[in-house]
Amino acid sequence: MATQATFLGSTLLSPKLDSSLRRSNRLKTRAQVDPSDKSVEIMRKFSEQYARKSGTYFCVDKGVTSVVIKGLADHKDSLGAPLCPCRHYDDKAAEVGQGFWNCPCVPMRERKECHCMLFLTPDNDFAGQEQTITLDEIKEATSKL
Amino acid sequence: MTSCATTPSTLPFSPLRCVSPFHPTRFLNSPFPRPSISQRGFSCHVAVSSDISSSVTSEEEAEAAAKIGKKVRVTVPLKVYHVMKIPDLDLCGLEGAIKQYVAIWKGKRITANLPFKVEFFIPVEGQDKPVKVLAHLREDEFEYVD
Repeated sequence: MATQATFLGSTLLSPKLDSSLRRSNRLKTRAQVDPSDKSVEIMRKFSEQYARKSGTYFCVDKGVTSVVIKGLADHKDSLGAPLCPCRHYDDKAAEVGQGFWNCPCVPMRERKECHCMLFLTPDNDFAGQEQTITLDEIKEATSKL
Repeated sequence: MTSCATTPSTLPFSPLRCVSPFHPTRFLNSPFPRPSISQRGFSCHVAVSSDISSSVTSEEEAEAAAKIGKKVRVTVPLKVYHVMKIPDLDLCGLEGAIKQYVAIWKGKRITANLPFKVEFFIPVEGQDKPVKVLAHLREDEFEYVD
């Protein structure tokens, strides 16, 4: 009986089913396109300026800062606005239109709470001493990904 | 052997059977009906499109609309930094009114985690007119004032 069950299992998972699953998985896979250099530069300058203005600092690990800046640049390119890259959305276009999560998001603007760890208040354990980051630093940190 | 291949009911549970919730009559005759050739493929349609998941029901909209205008008092220590005239403002104990529910926008659900936009009028020293402050709050950060 066990042999029959095994045989059944393999029959049910027919080649047709297997290939259709593979096909759907392939359709879901999308190549990650890098944001444009121009957008990365714009978001880099914005991040430096906003950190100065808000009295916040970048993370001790500049890799974190770099990834977030790149994520912001990517959303700016694809959606027209730098939507927070550290969150999941059902409807990105609606989120951009409403604006709560457009960087600087409402929690950051009002409470200085940045869960991306892009802007850190001085009392934060992970806050560094710097409010600047170069394009080279961003490229180097994100090239390893 | 051949009969077993076409009658998966011999298996205690067929992992590929995705019984549609819209056809309860399937269970009346037998919990494991013999599948036809067309049913051998896995065809469970559970995908939810973004349109459906982000659309808001009219009840939710009405519920949100009912809260607008209600007077509230902040019950937790809450520092805000976005008011130019008052650099470091603690809203704890202050009373205001709900101005907007931002988690619903044009009939769509927004993932805002501070959905209540509350308006406060805060008196400032050296100024006749109180300063208008708009702040976003969570449901558990305020209480309704009668």
